[in-house]
Amino acid sequence: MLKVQRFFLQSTALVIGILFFCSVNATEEQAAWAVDRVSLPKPRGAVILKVDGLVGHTNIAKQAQFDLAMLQTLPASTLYTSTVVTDGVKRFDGVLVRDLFNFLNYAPQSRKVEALALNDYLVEIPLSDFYEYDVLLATHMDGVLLTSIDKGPLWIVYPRDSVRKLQDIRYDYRWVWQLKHLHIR
Amino acid sequence: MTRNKKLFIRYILPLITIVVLLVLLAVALFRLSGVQREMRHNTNANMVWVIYYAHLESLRLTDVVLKQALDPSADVDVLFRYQMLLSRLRLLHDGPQSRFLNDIGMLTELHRHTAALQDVEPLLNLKHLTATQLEHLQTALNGLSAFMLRASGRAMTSQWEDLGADIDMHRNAVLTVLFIMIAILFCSVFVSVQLLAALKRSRQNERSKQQQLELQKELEHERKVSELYRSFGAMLSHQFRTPLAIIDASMQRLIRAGARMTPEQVVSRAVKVKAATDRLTRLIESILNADRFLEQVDIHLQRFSLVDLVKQAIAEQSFVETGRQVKLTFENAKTLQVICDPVLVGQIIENILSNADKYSPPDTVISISIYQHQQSVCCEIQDQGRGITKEELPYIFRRYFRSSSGFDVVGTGIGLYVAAELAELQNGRLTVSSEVNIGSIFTLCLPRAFVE
Repeated sequence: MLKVQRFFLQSTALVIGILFFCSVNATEEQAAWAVDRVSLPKPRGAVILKVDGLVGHTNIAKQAQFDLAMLQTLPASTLYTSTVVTDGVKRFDGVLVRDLFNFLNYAPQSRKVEALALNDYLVEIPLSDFYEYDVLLATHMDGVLLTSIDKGPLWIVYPRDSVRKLQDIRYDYRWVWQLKHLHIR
Repeated sequence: MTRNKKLFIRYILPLITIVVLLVLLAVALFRLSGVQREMRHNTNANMVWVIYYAHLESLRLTDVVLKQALDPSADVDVLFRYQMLLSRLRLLHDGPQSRFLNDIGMLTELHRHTAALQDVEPLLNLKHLTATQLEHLQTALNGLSAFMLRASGRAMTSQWEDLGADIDMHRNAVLTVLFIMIAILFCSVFVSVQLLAALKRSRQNERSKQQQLELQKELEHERKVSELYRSFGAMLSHQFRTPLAIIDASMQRLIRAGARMTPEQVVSRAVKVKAATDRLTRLIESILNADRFLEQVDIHLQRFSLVDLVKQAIAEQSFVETGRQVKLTFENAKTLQVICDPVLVGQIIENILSNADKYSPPDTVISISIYQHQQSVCCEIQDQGRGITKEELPYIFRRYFRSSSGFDVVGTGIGLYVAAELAELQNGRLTVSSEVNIGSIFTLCLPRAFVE
């Protein structure tokens, strides 16, 4: 009986110890990440994208707001793929979502991204998608700037043709077009 | 069952079954791969959802237009809502969506409503609308909304019809595969049963073959025994008849002329009878002894020099005194060692030597050579006697067998039989080669003992 009690006490202490260690680690990480928060330049043109949540770099009201020119300062990327709503293979130009997120120095504990479109369409995308695949934040389709009467200003485009796993309806709904807002959490 | 029927059931039917099995498997695989391919084709967007959003945008535009008409200072962005609706309409005009609408017969109507909307587009830029203008706008927007409602209903039914057809197709494919699997199961069971039956048959065949073999062995044994009796009879009739004839003749003489005979003559006859009786007794004893001897023989294998054993055997022969020449040759007595029982080897050698003496003229030489041959040491004894015919040579080591050329010599046909048996008991071998009127060569080979 005594032995069982002692074992119980020991294991409880161990669990508490581990939890304490983890929490200390987490807060340390958060603290380190928070310190890094710096200001971005302010957008001059029309704002086409707002990113908020666990972002390290912001410019207006705890948000990172971008106009097209600001987005285009990030490394340009091109992707050729077909889509479910258009015919044939299209050329998409823009920036990689992970390049944008890395640029914004998002918090290490971030796991998900909520993407909101102009028509208030809202989906949740796992952050890991952008690191596993070259997901593009497209500004141009076939060299033409995307506008809000088409699928602009921004379209989340997955490399559907080159990765078989992405040819699935469970990925199709993550192709948010008329994207206006990203919330990292 | 006829032969043809058997052939059909045992070989052709299983073969056909296996072919059917393979075909069924191929069909099942084909159907399954079809289903798999079919399931990958899910590229079409959910049309009900797409139309729903277009409908929603038309309603939202109607809403803001009415809000602005009621209160021109209201905080609404009519143009933005119009753009949203336009983007939706544009999406409906894109390749896959326009094809779908065409399929359900709604594309022309969409074009018409889109054109109607574009006709009233300038009115959207106005802050203040007249009643007629507002009515125009409302008519266009209401028409669009009503169209969207109908289109979504049509899209839903159409997509569900397609889905139902797909499900039917998949269900049929699965059912087909299921039936094929059952057929495959039956085919497999049939082939397995045939296989087991074939196994059983082959076992039966094996068993009957074994029985046949045993029967053959028994037959052989029977034949040997009967041959033995024949040999025995022949030997008896010859070997026993001579002394019996002597006894018979002497006795007849005694009966007929006994009274006139001198005592010396009677004694001489009696001595002859006695000698014949002795010969008979010896014959019977040797026959009986051979069996008893072979049954009771006790072997003590030892390392021995074959040269020494042969020398000893020669010395013990009585013919040495009568002047018979014996020539013994060997290379190195030390290396010619064998594993044997010296007493038994002595008996074998003595037997062969006495035969050589009996069946060859007294002035001829008996040559003995001892040599090493592979893992054995052999002793070859050659005489220059009458030899054995080719026909009789195979039977020379048989019990009671007597060569036809040796009938003038007393013997039971047991000596060589015993000698060969004794050689085998010591893991050795006794062989013979012979030529009529030239002589015989008996060779005794024994396992070689390795000199340390």
